Amino acid sequence: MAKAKVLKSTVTIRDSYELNNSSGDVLLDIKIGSEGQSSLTEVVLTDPKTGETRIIVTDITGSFNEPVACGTNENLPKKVLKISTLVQDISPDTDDTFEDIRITGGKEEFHQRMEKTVSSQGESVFYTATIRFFKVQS
Amino acid sequence: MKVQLLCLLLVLSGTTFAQEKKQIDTSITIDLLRAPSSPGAILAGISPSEIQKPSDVTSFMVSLQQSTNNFSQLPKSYALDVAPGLSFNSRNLTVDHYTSNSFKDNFVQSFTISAAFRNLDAGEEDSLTSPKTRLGLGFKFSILRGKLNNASYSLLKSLGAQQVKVLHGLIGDLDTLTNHDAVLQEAAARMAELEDSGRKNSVEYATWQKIAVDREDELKSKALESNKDELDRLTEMGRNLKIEKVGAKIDVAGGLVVDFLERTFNNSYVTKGGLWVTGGWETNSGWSFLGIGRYLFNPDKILADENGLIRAANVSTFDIGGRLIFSSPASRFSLSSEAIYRSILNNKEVDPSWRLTLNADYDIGNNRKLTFAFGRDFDGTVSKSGNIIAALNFLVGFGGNKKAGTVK
Repeated sequence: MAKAKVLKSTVTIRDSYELNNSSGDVLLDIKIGSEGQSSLTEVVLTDPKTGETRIIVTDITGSFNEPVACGTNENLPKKVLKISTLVQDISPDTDDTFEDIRITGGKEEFHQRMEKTVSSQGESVFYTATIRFFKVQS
Repeated sequence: MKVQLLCLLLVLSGTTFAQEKKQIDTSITIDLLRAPSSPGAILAGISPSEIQKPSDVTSFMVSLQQSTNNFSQLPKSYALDVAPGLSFNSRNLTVDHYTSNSFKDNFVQSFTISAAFRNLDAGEEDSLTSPKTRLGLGFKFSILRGKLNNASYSLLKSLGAQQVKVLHGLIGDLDTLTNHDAVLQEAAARMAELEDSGRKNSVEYATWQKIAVDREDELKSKALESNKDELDRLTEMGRNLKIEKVGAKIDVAGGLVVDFLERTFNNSYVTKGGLWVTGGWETNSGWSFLGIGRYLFNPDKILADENGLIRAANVSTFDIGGRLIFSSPASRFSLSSEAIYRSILNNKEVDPSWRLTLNADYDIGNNRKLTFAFGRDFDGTVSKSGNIIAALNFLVGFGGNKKAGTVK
């Protein structure tokens, strides 16, 4: 398991994920924190060519119980994964929030973590990650 | 409630009180019986401020590095508390797991290992003739932690609904903004070209990536601004959220200390130990009960031996306490009672003893209260105070037309 690239005071990711030549599933796993915070997540997959959008998960509270499949290495090229999460600080113990995103099943593991500390109790952080799937064209 | 109060008065008024009025010693409460926050370290004699509490593997390694002078020497003492379920399984972090009362969630979130060691030189503390190493190990976990009370459940439900509203509002507005933004569209297109041609690691890619992130942050600010009212409402709800649990709660904690004489592994013996069981029950109607049972082996201070009579080694003690409270804004009646039983299991020099205190009052309006206090101290002395006996004539009013009768 690769160590997460930590993006402090960052709430936006724009990146990509390289697929492999297998037909295996590409899996997405999300963990939310810090301890005692409340969150809601929606993940959609869009095809920029057709404009078609497929909901992977919606209104998920907290961390994923297990990784979810976004599609296969065969059918994901050039599609875009959009992750939108609202993390609200309701913990009396900390003002820290984070979203840890891990994608596996392709060429390498993608593991990034966005973090932000809110200034007062009750505030929310709107995290977004836009990740394009691709294969290098020979 | 009137019937309950009447019964209480009748029972108490029938008790024969000692004429001597002695103040109950309230310095000993059942809070003294509570399990220490870090059983292993506290039993080993390490102060709470010295205990490391790493939240993940990285902070544990940093703590270890600092304590060992960059891994070059063993520290004089070291203590840490680790909660494996939270440190190594961060799926359990968010509030939806905290509101669960399943045994699995309770155990995973609360299980804590407490470990400590100290190197004692000859002449230091009880290490009189030879140096020794002291090792303390402990644990604590919750079996039951109660379920959300009605008010907390409603608040969390409203909060969740508002989060859905805000998140979908933000997603919709951000989608509209990003789909029609030329800067973002161009950055995304250039990034895609570079990805497909195998140049993701180029400087050019990093430049376009930064442009895309910065632009999306700008658009995100606009989306947040257009959802400001709903966000402010959500913030206010989060700020006022107070999560309270009712129902049964059971916690278990334990620990022991092993001394290694001459710092050798095969010359060791258990010098201290303890086991704590804490149980409680809270209801939505205002009743709460707390009970604590404690077994200690060679405690620093024996609760039942206030005068320090016992000199023998290997002393085992058993103490138990309970606290009953009724307090509700909807009721005029309130009650608090506390009882403690203390004993030494393997020594006849000091007899077991117990203490009971009870305070009750009833608001009769116009800033007037009927109050009653009863106490029995460890030495058997009974005391009472309050205006309840003098005000027994009020009973006639509580019972309606039926007279309560004469109370002697």
